[in-house]
Amino acid sequence: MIMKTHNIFFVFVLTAISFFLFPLSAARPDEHSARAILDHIDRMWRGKSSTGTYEMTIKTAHWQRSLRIRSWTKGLDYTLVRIEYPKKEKGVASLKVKNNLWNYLPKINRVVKVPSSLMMGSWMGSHFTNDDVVKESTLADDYHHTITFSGSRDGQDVYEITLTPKEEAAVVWGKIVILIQQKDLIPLSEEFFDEQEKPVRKIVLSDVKTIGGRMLPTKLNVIPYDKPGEFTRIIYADLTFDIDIADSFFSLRTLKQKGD
Amino acid sequence: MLVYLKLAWRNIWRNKRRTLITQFSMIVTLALMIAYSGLVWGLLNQMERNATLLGPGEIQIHVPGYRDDRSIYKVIDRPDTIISSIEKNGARAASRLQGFGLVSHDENSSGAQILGIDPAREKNVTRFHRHLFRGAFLAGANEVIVGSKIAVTLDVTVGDELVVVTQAADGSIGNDIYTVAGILNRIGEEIDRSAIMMSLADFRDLFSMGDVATEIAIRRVHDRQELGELRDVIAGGIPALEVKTWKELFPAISDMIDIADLSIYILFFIVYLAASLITLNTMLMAVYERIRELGIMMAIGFRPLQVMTLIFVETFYLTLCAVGAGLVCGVGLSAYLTRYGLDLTSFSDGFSFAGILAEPHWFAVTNAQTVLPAAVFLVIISFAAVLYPALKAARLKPLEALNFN
Repeated sequence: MIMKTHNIFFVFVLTAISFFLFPLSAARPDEHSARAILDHIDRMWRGKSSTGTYEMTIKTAHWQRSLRIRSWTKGLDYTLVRIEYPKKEKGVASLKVKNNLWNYLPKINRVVKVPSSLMMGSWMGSHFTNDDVVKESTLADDYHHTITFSGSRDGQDVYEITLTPKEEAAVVWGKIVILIQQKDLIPLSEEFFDEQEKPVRKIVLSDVKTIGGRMLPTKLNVIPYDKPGEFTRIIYADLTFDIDIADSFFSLRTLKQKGD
Repeated sequence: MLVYLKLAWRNIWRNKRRTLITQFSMIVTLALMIAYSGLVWGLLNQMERNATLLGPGEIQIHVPGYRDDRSIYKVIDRPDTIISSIEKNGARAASRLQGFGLVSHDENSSGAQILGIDPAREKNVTRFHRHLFRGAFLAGANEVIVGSKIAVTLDVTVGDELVVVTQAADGSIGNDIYTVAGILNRIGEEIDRSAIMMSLADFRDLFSMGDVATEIAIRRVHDRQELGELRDVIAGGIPALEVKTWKELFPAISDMIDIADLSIYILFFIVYLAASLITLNTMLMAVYERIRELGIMMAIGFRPLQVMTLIFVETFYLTLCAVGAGLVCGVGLSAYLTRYGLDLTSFSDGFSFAGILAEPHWFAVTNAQTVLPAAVFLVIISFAAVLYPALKAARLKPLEALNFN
């Protein structure tokens, strides 16, 4: 439950970004179905594969700490993350292959599989859940998406897109509302609601920069509404897309390499 | 008076078979009721014992609000000071820590409650150490005791390695390898399904915690000491903390014990009511078949009250013999169940009530509380049932009775 921080960033940025191009479809509805745009955004955000480094800062009522994390991804099914800093957790790593999640603990040299019963548990002590890490690819499949607002809000032209779960989908959220800047289609925020439509947490994306040759928000802040004062913040340091990486890289063997 | 006794004694044996059948029904119901109340008290005593000796102890100390949100940040500072002052009060106490973690063995993993206990002190407060299915109690570092069901989930046995991963109190990733020293017997759903016990030192190391406890469990040295009084004494010394007896922690069990007498008496009443109808019938028949005889007695000077007395003395003999034999059988049956118990293991694994285990091998208790009320109730209800035939006899008119056929 502690090891999955890395992926989470992707999860959220991905969902956010997957809607990045959505406004295009609104502008040219004849040319793009929402789904096609989502897929396009996925590809654009993620590339075929990627590697990057980010810093995750977690603040809770009792402690605050920062982790530096290296990540590798390929398609939607493979993700590997490894903690580079602090020293106590150096080499701790998470591997996601499809819906499975393993953590590696260098101190005791053991791999632990995260059971499905703990999917709602905290990932790496952050305000992300294990489920956030594993389920990253299913938002587009599991939800209906509609543009619920288009116009000026807080001095910016934005699109508001609301996701509601499909009836048969086994999902965690009752509703997700995403705000996207119209001029460059960069996502600003995502707000998550439970089944009673009560807001649970908000993710704010900011600091748009050119990274890995693309314009992307490089800072992501998770704010849980039920824990005032707490947050998890992720800031990307570097990101490279379309690297040459084999499926076999995402293996328990790689997971156990301590990194250097 | 002697003449009543003699007459009554002879009368009840005039129809031996009827008398014996009546008595037999009384003996059977009395014996069953004695065994029943013995079993009920046995179950309640066992649940009380499990609620205290296999769980919280008799009194618990927490930080206020801990029971609603079992957080590793709601802790009692320097628990040893509190424990030594409790020990000065003549009770026994042990610190505990509770946290959540991911435990794993080979390919299997599960979420678990991690319990940190002080093995030496815990032995004085609870009986976990005597409730092991396999293996031994905590003796050294990096050993764990595992709940019965989670042991199956993880597929571990004594000597196996168990990995525990958790988020420590400082936010870092706590992880270590432990050896399974023992597996607990069934205790209650929560412990069976999710508990992993380790020493306080190992727990503090895993969770990066200092000299704190999430809970202090207390047990009296003498059962005679009043629980509420001891609680008040302890609470007086630590006003900032919450001190509760097990009765406050498990109100469902405590209430059940409080109303146990009443519910047993209600069953006595129902069962004896049925049995007393047989007595009523016997005595009514005895009166009707002797109407002429009773008429003669009244004609030669017996007063209605004396006739009534006679019928009651007959009932007295009838029940006395039955209660005597019933007590022998009932105490015998109850004593057997006290000694050997009722083994329901083939039907059930036991059940949990309010989180407290009722074991499938069920032992009765036999004492004055379980035996005497059963006998007293039978006598009272039998006499009440005979009121009608006795009145009937007392109201006979001598002349009509003589001519009755």
